[in-house]
Order: sequence, then C-alpha cells, then structure tokens
Amino acid sequence: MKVFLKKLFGFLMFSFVMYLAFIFLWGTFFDNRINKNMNFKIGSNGHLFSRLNEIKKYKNVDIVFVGSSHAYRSFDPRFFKEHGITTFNLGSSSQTPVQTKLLLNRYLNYLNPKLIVYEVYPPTFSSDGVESSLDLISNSDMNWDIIKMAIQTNHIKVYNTLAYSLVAKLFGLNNDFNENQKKGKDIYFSGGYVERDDTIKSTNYRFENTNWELNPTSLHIFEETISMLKFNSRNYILIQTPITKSLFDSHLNNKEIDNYFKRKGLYINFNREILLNDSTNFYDDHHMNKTGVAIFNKFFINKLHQLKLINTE
Amino acid sequence: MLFNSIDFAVFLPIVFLLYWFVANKNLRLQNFLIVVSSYIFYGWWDWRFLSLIIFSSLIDFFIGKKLSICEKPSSRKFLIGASLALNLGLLGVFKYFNFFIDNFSQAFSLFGIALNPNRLSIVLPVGISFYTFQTLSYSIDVYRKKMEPTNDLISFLAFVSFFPQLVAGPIERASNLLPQFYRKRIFNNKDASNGLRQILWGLFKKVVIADNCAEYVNIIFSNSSSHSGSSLLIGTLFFAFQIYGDFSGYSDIAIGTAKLFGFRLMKNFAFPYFSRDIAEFWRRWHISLSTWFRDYLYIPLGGSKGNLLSKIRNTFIIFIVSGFWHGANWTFIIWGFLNAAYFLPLLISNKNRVNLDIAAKGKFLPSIKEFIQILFTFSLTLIAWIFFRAENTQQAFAIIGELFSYSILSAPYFPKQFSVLPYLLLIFIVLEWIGRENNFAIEKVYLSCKLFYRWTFFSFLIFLIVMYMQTKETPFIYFQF
Repeated sequence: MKVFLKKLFGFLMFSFVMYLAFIFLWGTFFDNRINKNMNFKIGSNGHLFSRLNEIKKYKNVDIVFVGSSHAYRSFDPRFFKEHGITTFNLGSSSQTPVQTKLLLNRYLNYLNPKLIVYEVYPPTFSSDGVESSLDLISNSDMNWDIIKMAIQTNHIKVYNTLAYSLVAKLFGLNNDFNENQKKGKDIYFSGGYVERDDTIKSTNYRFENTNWELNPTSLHIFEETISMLKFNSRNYILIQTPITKSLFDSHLNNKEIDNYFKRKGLYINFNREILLNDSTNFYDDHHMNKTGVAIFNKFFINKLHQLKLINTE
Repeated sequence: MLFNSIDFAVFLPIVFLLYWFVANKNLRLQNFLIVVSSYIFYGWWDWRFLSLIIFSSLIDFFIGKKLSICEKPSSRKFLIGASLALNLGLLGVFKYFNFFIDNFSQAFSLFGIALNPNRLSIVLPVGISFYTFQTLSYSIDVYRKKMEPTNDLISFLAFVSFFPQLVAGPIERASNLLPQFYRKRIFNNKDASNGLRQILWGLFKKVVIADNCAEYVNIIFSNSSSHSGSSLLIGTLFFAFQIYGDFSGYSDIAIGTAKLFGFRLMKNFAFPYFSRDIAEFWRRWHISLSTWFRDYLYIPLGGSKGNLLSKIRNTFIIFIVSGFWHGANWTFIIWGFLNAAYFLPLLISNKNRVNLDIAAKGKFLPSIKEFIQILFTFSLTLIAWIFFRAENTQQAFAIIGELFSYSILSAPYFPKQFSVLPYLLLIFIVLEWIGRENNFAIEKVYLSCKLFYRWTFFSFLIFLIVMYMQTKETPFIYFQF
C-alpha cells in the first residue's frame, strides 16, 4: 500500500509538471477556439493591455473610473481635460466586483484620485466573472492578487489561462507585445477610453420584461470594496451610465436596484437623468457611441460641478 | 454523486483510506463501510430514494432466507413470485406507469372513448433498473438452487448497493459479486494501478469524447427538422460515440474503482464498434444486461432450443424487452425491434456465432473483408441509434428520411467550436483499436515502455480531460434508465 501511495504521489507531481508543459504547448501553438478550457488573449477587446501599460504615465489624477465596458466606453478624457480634470480609466470588459476590488487595491494609492467613479451595471453583479478574469490574467502583471482572483472565480478556464500565463511569462513569451490602438471599429485613447463611432444596427430593439439579478457573493465583495473606500476616506460616487431606453424600461426592478445602491453611498442612475436617442446615440443596446458619449460627458461634468464633487479651480 | 464531479474526487480517497487503513482489520467493518459510503453516494442525489434500495434489498434478503428453508414447490413459486412482483412492481410504478396510462388512454380514444387518467408526477429514481435487476438475479438464482442464500445482511446490502456500480452497472450476478464480500480483501498494488488506469480511461471516454460529442448532438437533435442530411449524419455518428463513451466510460470507472477496493466486476463492454456482425456487437455491448436477459429470459423461454420459429420469437422478445428496459417510450421498443431484425438473417443462416474473437486478432490492421464488415455493422447500429436518441418515432423516421435524401450531399453545419472534435475522436479510435485485445484500451499501452513515457502518456490524457471537459457537471445518459 505504501509503495502504491508513494508511486501515486510521484505520478501526481510528475503529471503536474507535464500539465504545465502541455498547457504551454497548446497555448502557444493552437488557436483559442481549439483550446476549449483556456483563453489567453493578450491585447483582447477593451484594450486592457494598453490601459495598464500606460498607467505609469498617470499619477495623482482627479478621477479614476472603474467598472465594466460601460466605464471605459463612456468617459472621454478629452472632454474632462477641457475642464482641467485629469482622469484615468480602470474599466475592463464585464468587470465584476472581484476585479474592481483587485484593481483598486493595486492602483488606488498610486493614482491617488480625488474621486472614484464606480460604474455599477447590474449584469456585472450576476456574471460569473470569467471573461473579466481572463482579461486581467492575459493583460496585467502577475501577482498574488491575480491568483487570489482566479481562486475566487473558480473556473477551469481561468485556472488553465493562469497556468499558461505564468509559464508564458517565465519564458518571456509576450515581452515584445505591442497592442494596436485601432482594432476594428474601436479606437483607444490615452487615459483608458475606447471610442466607437458607429450607430445601432436595428432601431427597434424589443426586450421581454425581466428583472436584474444581483448575486449575493458579488454584493458581498462590492460592499467590502465600499468599506475599504470609506475606511481610507476616499471620495466615491456610484453611477449607472445610460443604456438604451428600451433595454432599461424592460427591467421591472430598476427602483429596487437604485434603492440598494443609494444605501451604499452617493449614487446617480443616469438613465433617469439624461435622455439619449436609442438609435443615434448608441452602437448597441447598452453601449453609447461617440455622439452619445459627447452628450453624456458634458452632462456628467456639469453634474460633478453641481454636486461639488470635483474642484478644478 | 457523479463520477465526474469534485464531490466524487473528494469522496473516493476518503473512503479508500478509511477502507484500507481504518477498517482493514475487520471484514464486517469493511463491508459496513461499503454500505454506509454507498448510501451516502446514492443519497447525494436524493436521500429519499434510499428507502427504495433498502426496501428492495431487505425483500430479497428475507425471500432468499425463506427459500432456503422452504422445499414445497408451490411455496417456493409464491416466494419468487412475490420477489418479482415487488421488484418489478416498483420499477413499473416509477418507470412505466405513465407510459401505460398514456397508451391506454390513446387506445381508448381510437374507439371514441375519452379517458382523462391521472398521470403520476414522480421522478425516476436514479439507477432503479440496474439495482432491481441485480437484486432479482439473487432471488432467481436462490430459487433455482444455483446458489446458497446468504445469512449475512451487511454483505447482502453491500452487494446490492456497492457504490461503484450501483447506478449504471455493470449489473452484477450475486454468484460473482456476493462471495467477494465474504472473503478478506488484500490490497494488490498491480490491481490498484490497473484500476486507476481504467478510471482514467473511463473519464477520458466520458468527459472528452461523450460530453463533447453531446454538445453537437444536442444542437442537431433538438432541431433536427432544420438540419440537412449531412448534418444529421454527423449528429448520429457523434451520438454513437457519445453513447459508447458515456456508458462504457461509466463502466470503466466503476470497474476501476472496484479494483481499488479489491473487487472484480464483470466486463461490460468489449470494443463493440469493431464488431463484424450484429451478433458479435451484442456480445460486446452492455454485456452484463445482454447476459442477464439471456440467463433469466431467453433461456427460460426456450433459448435457441426448439424450432426456428420459436428461436425467432425468443430473439424478438428479448430485444424488445431490452429496448423497453431502457425507457418507457416507443422509440426504445423500435430500437429493440430493429436490432432483433438485424439479428434475424444471422439466426436463420445459423451464423450468429461466427465472430467470437476480436477483429484482426494478433494483427495490426484488419483485412479488407473485416473492414467492410465492421463498417457495415457500425452503419446498422447508427440507424438504430437514431431511434434511441430521438424524442419520438416521428422525429426518428424524419431523420432517416433526410439521411436518404439529396441533402446528404450538402455541406454540413459544423461550427468552428467543434473543429477539435474529429481529432479527439481519431485519437480515441486509434487507442481503442490498438488496445482492443485487452480489457480496456489503455490497459497495456506503453506498459513495456520506460516509466517516463508511460507517465507522460497518462499525463497527456489528464491534460486532455481538463482541457476539454465541460465546465458544468454532466450526468451519465444511463442514469435515466
């Protein structure tokens, strides 16, 4: 029996090493579509690689944005600059509270913002966090926070991608990688903003009535982040950026959602504050296009001044 | 609890360590541990259904004891009748009640009599068909005086509920498995290593082959009317590998797990897709069920004795009953009927026992004749699998119609996400072919090679399992039977 257990232990150690070798081979030579449970995508949608790479250029900014694609697609730093406001966007695709917490823990003290704008799109509170975790693993530096995030996400795709990322970094595989600033219809602007100048394909989106779902684990982590911000006396504001009216109105529990976030701090749901045109100000049912962003940003900056949340004098 | 779950990955080592390190000094304690762990394993789905297993076990245990002291033929008949009635009665209520109610109601409606019977709203207990047949085999063997009844209740409960094969077989005979509970088990390094290899191969079949084929199959069969003949052909082909990978994978994990505990279970699959005729296929597919029907139904009906007509009748009876055993649906009955019809030419020409050895034994490649025979037999099974997989008979006939239409020549629907599947299937078929003379494909693969190569090969299988597994637990198909 002892011989068997010893041999089994030896095999498990051996296969662990071999596993990393196979992961490396698969990740390096095969397409992501073939790698069913691995998705290492350096320079993926959302330009997170560029964003995190240029963070060194930014320090002591006025505003830091966090949140999902709504964060990095809704705040154009050029409009803020016109008002003398410096910003940096830490948004990432489908960013859930797990990733928000990680990014704030990592960069908050360095960026040292006067205000944190936390974009809280309800679906990111019910997402499994896999997409956003993969984005971060593929495009950011590796540290214990990333490993902790992978464990929290607890998904085989995330573990495999993490394993590949570690081995790839060990061999310096992506050291020379440079991300293209223009990808398809997306253009990246310094400060973390991604612009899309496009209009909605279908003008008559119809959605069945439904409810936003917020999962308790995400809410728990979100509340931990809020507590951390409060503990560190950081100014923050929770917001929902505009989505198409048809999508917003199809959700029956918007009031409940608003009430929840209102209890967690200063909160503005811009779907109730500003009326955009579903067909000309959006490029899909929940992302603003260039013209939508321009209208929204002017409104948003005025709101910041009205609420005296930012002092640029 | 599923074999392909984290729960089982935790459960198995705990039971293994308790079994060999804590309970190893006392046989009864080891058997008791098997009973408790088997009940935990089963109760993981729904603990309420444990009462059915315990009830079934106790009925047959006490009927067995009674049979041992009763010599009066009429009383013995009454006892075995009671065992059959109770066991099959339970199976009937849970599995077939709604089927009969629906069909009676439809039959009456043909005569203009409208019935609105109450259907039962019950869940089919997992594995009920398997353990019912296993416990029945004990009562029948005791009745036939082919084995002595047991006085050891713990051993008997362990025999009925033995967790590796409880929910989807192999359906063990009491004469093979029960005596193993009386004997002291000694840990055997070679057997345990062999068991682990078999578990690994079973997991590969289930997780890599069956579950990935299932993804495509589900897309095609859930909307078969909108797919071309070529897509339906690929869907059917993949289903053949899905059902084989799923079920034989389960059997491999079960047999391998039993080896870890010092038990030997019967072989359930012997490379059926390399069969050269349908009779050989049925000697290699779900062996434990085929032999069960042979011993407890076919032979009592007269078997292959008597005239040709009675042989044909008996063959049809066992295939149709076997189909019905799989599920309360006409599709399964037609599946059984079709297999009996395939069998018929061999039976009439008395060629049903020609191919007893594995194809191309001792050779690397089959002869052209063998290859054509294998391909033909496989094609026959494909047609039958359509009935097995289809939701209803109309869908099955529509699919077959489409397969024989011009749309078979059109480009099939095959999204890029499945592009790796043909390669995985190729690896699988090659390994199965290479290992076809063993109990399972990788039993002796690389055994003569250096440890490094062997372990690299097994590590590669583990890698493929993790890389291509589903992210959600997927139950085994045969759990529904």
